[in-house]
Amino acid sequence: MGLRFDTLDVVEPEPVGDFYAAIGAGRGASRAGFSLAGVPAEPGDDAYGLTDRAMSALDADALLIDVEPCELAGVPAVRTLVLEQLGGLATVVLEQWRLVAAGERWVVTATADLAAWAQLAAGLRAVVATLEVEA
Amino acid sequence: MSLTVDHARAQVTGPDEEIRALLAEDAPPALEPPLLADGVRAARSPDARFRVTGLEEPLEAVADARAAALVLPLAGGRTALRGCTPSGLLGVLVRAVRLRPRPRAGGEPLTVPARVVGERSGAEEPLQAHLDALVAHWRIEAYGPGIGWYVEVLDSELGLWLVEALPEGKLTLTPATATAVLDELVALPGHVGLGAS
Repeated sequence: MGLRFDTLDVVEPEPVGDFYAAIGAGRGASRAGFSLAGVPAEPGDDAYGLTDRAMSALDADALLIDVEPCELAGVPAVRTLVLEQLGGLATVVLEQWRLVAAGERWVVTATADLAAWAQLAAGLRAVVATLEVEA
Repeated sequence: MSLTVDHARAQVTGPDEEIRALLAEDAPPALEPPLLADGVRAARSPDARFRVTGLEEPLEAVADARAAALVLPLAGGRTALRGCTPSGLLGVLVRAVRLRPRPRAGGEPLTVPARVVGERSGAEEPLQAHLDALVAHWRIEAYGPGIGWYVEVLDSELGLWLVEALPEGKLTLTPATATAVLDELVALPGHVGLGAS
Protein backbone atom coordinates (compact mmCIF):
# COMPACT_ATOMS: atom_id res chain seq x y z
CA MET A 1 0.00 0.00 0.00
CA GLY A 2 1.08 3.59 -0.49
CA LEU A 3 0.39 6.62 -2.59
CA ARG A 4 0.67 6.94 -6.31
CA PHE A 5 0.48 9.92 -8.60
CA ASP A 6 0.31 10.86 -12.25
CA THR A 7 3.24 12.92 -13.54
CA LEU A 8 0.91 14.59 -16.09
CA ASP A 9 4.08 14.94 -18.18
CA VAL A 10 4.89 17.88 -15.93
CA VAL A 11 7.58 16.20 -13.85
CA GLU A 12 10.07 13.49 -14.76
CA PRO A 13 12.36 11.36 -12.60
CA GLU A 14 15.21 13.46 -13.92
CA PRO A 15 14.83 17.03 -15.17
CA VAL A 16 14.59 16.42 -18.89
CA GLY A 17 12.13 17.33 -21.62
CA ASP A 18 9.52 20.03 -21.35
CA PHE A 19 9.84 20.41 -17.60
CA TYR A 20 13.56 21.05 -17.85
CA ALA A 21 12.92 23.56 -20.61
CA ALA A 22 10.40 25.34 -18.39
CA ILE A 23 12.89 25.56 -15.56
CA GLY A 24 15.55 26.86 -17.90
CA ALA A 25 19.05 25.44 -17.82
CA GLY A 26 21.06 26.95 -15.02
CA ARG A 27 18.26 29.18 -13.79
CA GLY A 28 17.42 29.30 -10.12
CA ALA A 29 19.05 28.29 -6.90
CA SER A 30 17.51 24.87 -6.58
CA ARG A 31 16.05 22.11 -8.71
CA ALA A 32 12.31 22.49 -9.11
CA GLY A 33 10.23 19.39 -8.63
CA PHE A 34 7.85 17.22 -6.71
CA SER A 35 8.62 14.67 -4.03
CA LEU A 36 6.71 12.20 -1.94
CA ALA A 37 8.15 10.90 1.33
CA GLY A 38 6.51 8.35 3.60
CA VAL A 39 7.43 6.74 6.92
CA PRO A 40 5.38 4.36 9.08
CA ALA A 41 2.72 6.21 11.05
CA GLU A 42 2.55 6.18 14.85
CA PRO A 43 -0.72 5.68 16.72
CA GLY A 44 -2.57 8.98 16.95
CA ASP A 45 -0.78 10.59 14.01
CA ASP A 46 -2.88 12.95 11.94
CA ALA A 47 -2.26 15.69 9.41
CA TYR A 48 -2.68 18.47 11.98
CA GLY A 49 -0.17 17.01 14.41
CA LEU A 50 2.38 16.36 11.67
CA THR A 51 2.01 19.93 10.46
CA ASP A 52 2.25 21.46 13.94
CA ARG A 53 5.48 19.56 14.60
CA ALA A 54 6.99 20.54 11.26
CA MET A 55 6.04 24.21 11.54
CA SER A 56 7.37 24.48 15.09
CA ALA A 57 10.75 23.29 13.78
CA LEU A 58 11.12 25.91 11.04
CA ASP A 59 14.50 27.62 11.08
CA ALA A 60 15.14 31.37 11.15
CA ASP A 61 15.53 31.49 7.36
CA ALA A 62 12.06 30.06 6.80
CA LEU A 63 8.94 32.17 6.45
CA LEU A 64 5.50 30.60 6.82
CA ILE A 65 3.12 32.16 4.30
CA ASP A 66 -0.04 30.05 4.51
CA VAL A 67 -1.61 27.07 6.27
CA GLU A 68 -4.79 25.42 5.06
CA PRO A 69 -6.68 22.27 6.04
CA CYS A 70 -7.70 20.43 2.90
CA GLU A 71 -8.22 16.94 1.51
CA LEU A 72 -5.72 15.03 -0.57
CA ALA A 73 -5.92 11.46 -1.86
CA GLY A 74 -9.34 11.27 -0.22
CA VAL A 75 -8.05 11.87 3.31
CA PRO A 76 -7.68 14.95 5.53
CA ALA A 77 -4.48 16.86 4.86
CA VAL A 78 -2.91 20.18 5.73
CA ARG A 79 -1.22 22.32 3.09
CA THR A 80 1.55 24.74 4.05
CA LEU A 81 3.42 27.29 1.99
CA VAL A 82 6.90 28.23 3.22
CA LEU A 83 9.64 30.38 1.73
CA GLU A 84 13.18 29.36 2.56
CA GLN A 85 16.03 31.81 2.15
CA LEU A 86 19.17 30.06 0.93
CA GLY A 87 22.38 31.58 2.17
CA GLY A 88 20.78 35.00 2.30
CA LEU A 89 20.80 35.16 -1.49
CA ALA A 90 18.08 33.14 -3.15
CA THR A 91 14.59 32.19 -2.04
CA VAL A 92 12.97 28.83 -2.58
CA VAL A 93 9.28 27.88 -2.25
CA LEU A 94 8.20 24.75 -0.42
CA GLU A 95 4.49 23.99 -0.82
CA GLN A 96 3.79 20.88 1.22
CA TRP A 97 0.87 18.65 2.09
CA ARG A 98 0.97 16.40 5.16
CA LEU A 99 -1.38 13.50 5.61
CA VAL A 100 -1.69 10.04 7.07
CA ALA A 101 -2.74 7.35 4.62
CA ALA A 102 -2.18 3.64 4.10
CA GLY A 103 -0.52 3.35 7.52
CA GLU A 104 2.12 5.95 6.75
CA ARG A 105 2.84 9.62 7.37
CA TRP A 106 3.25 11.38 4.07
CA VAL A 107 4.89 14.64 3.16
CA VAL A 108 4.21 15.77 -0.38
CA THR A 109 6.43 18.61 -1.53
CA ALA A 110 6.32 20.87 -4.56
CA THR A 111 9.34 23.13 -4.75
CA ALA A 112 11.01 25.68 -7.02
CA ASP A 113 13.12 28.79 -6.97
CA LEU A 114 10.71 31.63 -6.12
CA ALA A 115 11.52 33.41 -9.40
CA ALA A 116 10.28 30.34 -11.31
CA TRP A 117 7.20 29.72 -9.16
CA ALA A 118 4.82 31.70 -11.37
CA GLN A 119 5.70 29.40 -14.28
CA LEU A 120 5.73 26.12 -12.41
CA ALA A 121 3.24 26.26 -9.54
CA ALA A 122 0.12 25.34 -11.51
CA GLY A 123 1.75 22.28 -13.07
CA LEU A 124 3.21 21.07 -9.80
CA ARG A 125 -0.12 21.53 -7.99
CA ALA A 126 -1.87 19.61 -10.76
CA VAL A 127 0.49 16.67 -10.20
CA VAL A 128 -0.16 16.80 -6.45
CA ALA A 129 -3.91 16.71 -7.13
CA THR A 130 -3.53 13.31 -8.85
CA LEU A 131 -2.37 11.58 -5.66
CA GLU A 132 -4.35 8.47 -4.77
CA VAL A 133 -4.08 5.94 -1.99
CA GLU A 134 -2.87 2.68 -3.53
CA ALA A 135 -4.27 -0.51 -2.05
CA MET B 1 35.50 57.49 -3.19
CA SER B 2 34.11 56.61 0.20
CA LEU B 3 32.02 53.66 -0.80
CA THR B 4 31.98 50.75 1.61
CA VAL B 5 31.17 47.19 0.62
CA ASP B 6 29.47 44.66 2.85
CA HIS B 7 30.44 41.34 1.24
CA ALA B 8 28.03 39.25 3.26
CA ARG B 9 25.06 41.36 2.16
CA ALA B 10 26.39 42.01 -1.37
CA GLN B 11 25.82 45.68 -0.56
CA VAL B 12 27.62 48.90 -1.34
CA THR B 13 26.93 52.01 0.74
CA GLY B 14 27.99 55.61 0.29
CA PRO B 15 26.91 59.20 -0.22
CA ASP B 16 24.02 59.55 -2.67
CA GLU B 17 26.19 61.31 -5.25
CA GLU B 18 28.85 58.58 -5.18
CA ILE B 19 26.26 55.87 -5.65
CA ARG B 20 24.86 57.85 -8.58
CA ALA B 21 28.39 58.17 -9.98
CA LEU B 22 28.92 54.41 -9.62
CA LEU B 23 25.72 53.80 -11.57
CA ALA B 24 26.72 56.29 -14.27
CA GLU B 25 30.06 54.60 -15.03
CA ASP B 26 30.51 52.66 -18.24
CA ALA B 27 33.30 50.37 -17.07
CA PRO B 28 32.29 46.97 -15.73
CA PRO B 29 31.82 47.27 -11.97
CA ALA B 30 34.98 46.11 -10.17
CA LEU B 31 33.07 44.91 -7.15
CA GLU B 32 33.00 41.75 -5.11
CA PRO B 33 31.07 39.58 -4.53
CA PRO B 34 29.89 38.86 -8.09
CA LEU B 35 26.27 39.21 -6.97
CA LEU B 36 26.93 42.85 -6.09
CA ALA B 37 28.56 43.47 -9.48
CA ASP B 38 25.53 41.85 -11.14
CA GLY B 39 23.21 44.04 -9.08
CA VAL B 40 25.09 47.19 -10.11
CA ARG B 41 24.87 46.10 -13.76
CA ALA B 42 21.12 45.63 -13.33
CA ALA B 43 20.81 49.06 -11.73
CA ARG B 44 22.73 50.70 -14.60
CA SER B 45 20.48 49.22 -17.25
CA PRO B 46 17.33 47.85 -15.62
CA ASP B 47 14.69 45.90 -17.52
CA ALA B 48 12.16 46.46 -14.74
CA ARG B 49 11.60 48.67 -11.72
CA PHE B 50 9.70 47.86 -8.56
CA ARG B 51 8.27 50.18 -5.93
CA VAL B 52 6.55 49.20 -2.71
CA THR B 53 4.33 51.73 -0.95
CA GLY B 54 2.22 51.52 2.17
CA LEU B 55 5.18 50.55 4.34
CA GLU B 56 6.87 52.80 6.89
CA GLU B 57 9.48 53.56 4.22
CA PRO B 58 8.99 53.08 0.47
CA LEU B 59 11.13 50.32 -0.99
CA GLU B 60 12.55 50.47 -4.49
CA ALA B 61 14.34 47.92 -6.60
CA VAL B 62 15.53 47.46 -10.16
CA ALA B 63 16.17 44.25 -12.03
CA ASP B 64 17.31 42.65 -15.22
CA ALA B 65 16.97 39.00 -16.20
CA ARG B 66 20.03 37.94 -14.15
CA ALA B 67 20.00 40.00 -11.01
CA ALA B 68 18.34 42.76 -9.05
CA ALA B 69 19.35 45.61 -6.80
CA LEU B 70 17.51 47.04 -3.84
CA VAL B 71 17.87 50.78 -3.49
CA LEU B 72 17.83 51.68 0.20
CA PRO B 73 17.83 55.36 1.17
CA LEU B 74 19.73 55.90 4.43
CA ALA B 75 19.96 58.80 6.84
CA GLY B 76 22.45 61.60 6.19
CA GLY B 77 22.23 61.65 2.40
CA ARG B 78 23.55 58.13 1.98
CA THR B 79 22.25 55.26 -0.12
CA ALA B 80 22.81 51.52 -0.01
CA LEU B 81 22.60 49.35 -3.10
CA ARG B 82 22.16 45.65 -2.38
CA GLY B 83 22.59 43.04 -5.08
CA CYS B 84 20.27 40.06 -5.05
CA THR B 85 19.12 37.22 -7.22
CA PRO B 86 15.70 37.42 -8.91
CA SER B 87 14.24 35.08 -6.30
CA GLY B 88 16.08 36.91 -3.55
CA LEU B 89 14.36 40.14 -4.62
CA LEU B 90 10.93 38.48 -4.54
CA GLY B 91 11.75 37.08 -1.09
CA VAL B 92 12.66 40.56 0.12
CA LEU B 93 9.36 41.93 -1.22
CA VAL B 94 7.37 39.18 0.52
CA ARG B 95 9.14 39.86 3.81
CA ALA B 96 8.75 43.62 3.42
CA VAL B 97 4.96 43.37 3.14
CA ARG B 98 4.89 40.79 5.95
CA LEU B 99 2.80 38.28 4.07
CA ARG B 100 1.72 35.59 6.53
CA PRO B 101 -1.14 33.20 7.28
CA ARG B 102 -4.45 34.99 7.63
CA PRO B 103 -8.02 33.73 8.09
CA ARG B 104 -9.93 33.17 4.85
CA ALA B 105 -12.07 36.26 4.30
CA GLY B 106 -14.27 34.35 1.87
CA GLY B 107 -17.23 35.69 -0.05
CA GLU B 108 -17.61 37.41 -3.37
CA PRO B 109 -15.66 40.44 -4.68
CA LEU B 110 -17.09 43.80 -3.59
CA THR B 111 -17.13 47.09 -5.47
CA VAL B 112 -16.85 50.12 -3.21
CA PRO B 113 -16.00 53.81 -3.51
CA ALA B 114 -12.26 54.34 -3.03
CA ARG B 115 -12.96 56.76 -0.17
CA VAL B 116 -14.37 53.84 1.88
CA VAL B 117 -10.91 52.26 1.88
CA GLY B 118 -9.10 55.59 2.20
CA GLU B 119 -11.15 56.65 5.21
CA ARG B 120 -11.63 53.10 6.51
CA SER B 121 -15.26 53.91 7.22
CA GLY B 122 -18.69 53.75 5.65
CA ALA B 123 -18.51 50.16 4.47
CA GLU B 124 -21.20 47.57 5.04
CA GLU B 125 -20.42 44.51 7.12
CA PRO B 126 -18.44 42.32 6.92
CA LEU B 127 -16.07 44.67 5.08
CA GLN B 128 -16.22 47.32 7.80
CA ALA B 129 -15.05 44.75 10.39
CA HIS B 130 -12.07 44.02 8.14
CA LEU B 131 -11.29 47.72 7.74
CA ASP B 132 -11.48 48.14 11.52
CA ALA B 133 -8.93 45.33 11.88
CA LEU B 134 -6.65 46.60 9.11
CA VAL B 135 -2.94 46.02 9.71
CA ALA B 136 -1.55 47.28 6.41
CA HIS B 137 -2.55 48.55 2.99
CA TRP B 138 0.37 47.97 0.67
CA ARG B 139 0.99 48.09 -3.04
CA ILE B 140 3.82 46.77 -5.19
CA GLU B 141 4.17 48.43 -8.58
CA ALA B 142 6.27 46.95 -11.36
CA TYR B 143 7.26 48.76 -14.54
CA GLY B 144 8.81 47.28 -17.66
CA PRO B 145 9.27 48.65 -21.18
CA GLY B 146 5.95 50.34 -21.90
CA ILE B 147 4.00 48.38 -19.34
CA GLY B 148 3.11 48.58 -15.68
CA TRP B 149 1.40 46.20 -13.30
CA TYR B 150 0.60 46.20 -9.62
CA VAL B 151 -0.50 44.08 -6.71
CA GLU B 152 -2.37 45.94 -3.99
CA VAL B 153 -3.55 44.32 -0.78
CA LEU B 154 -5.61 45.18 2.27
CA ASP B 155 -4.12 43.12 5.08
CA SER B 156 -6.53 42.74 7.98
CA GLU B 157 -6.38 40.50 11.04
CA LEU B 158 -9.57 38.99 9.57
CA GLY B 159 -8.23 38.29 6.10
CA LEU B 160 -6.58 39.54 2.93
CA TRP B 161 -8.21 41.45 0.07
CA LEU B 162 -6.75 42.12 -3.37
CA VAL B 163 -7.51 45.68 -4.47
CA GLU B 164 -8.10 46.66 -8.08
CA ALA B 165 -8.83 50.21 -9.20
CA LEU B 166 -11.89 50.80 -11.37
CA PRO B 167 -12.94 53.92 -13.26
CA GLU B 168 -14.92 56.64 -11.49
CA GLY B 169 -13.18 56.36 -8.15
CA LYS B 170 -14.23 52.83 -7.34
CA LEU B 171 -12.33 49.76 -6.21
CA THR B 172 -12.94 46.05 -6.49
CA LEU B 173 -11.96 44.19 -3.33
CA THR B 174 -11.48 40.46 -3.80
CA PRO B 175 -11.04 38.17 -0.79
CA ALA B 176 -7.76 36.29 -1.18
CA THR B 177 -5.63 33.73 0.61
CA ALA B 178 -1.99 34.37 1.40
CA THR B 179 -1.17 31.75 -1.24
CA ALA B 180 -3.14 33.67 -3.86
CA VAL B 181 -1.40 36.90 -2.90
CA LEU B 182 2.00 35.22 -3.16
CA ASP B 183 1.07 33.83 -6.58
CA GLU B 184 0.11 37.34 -7.76
CA LEU B 185 3.28 38.86 -6.33
CA VAL B 186 5.67 36.39 -7.93
CA ALA B 187 3.92 36.84 -11.30
CA LEU B 188 4.74 40.58 -11.31
CA PRO B 189 8.13 40.29 -13.07
CA GLY B 190 6.57 38.24 -15.86
CA HIS B 191 3.76 40.74 -16.32
CA VAL B 192 6.30 43.48 -17.11
CA GLY B 193 8.42 41.39 -19.44
CA LEU B 194 10.99 40.00 -17.03
CA GLY B 195 10.77 36.27 -17.70
CA ALA B 196 7.47 34.58 -18.46
CA SER B 197 4.27 35.55 -16.63
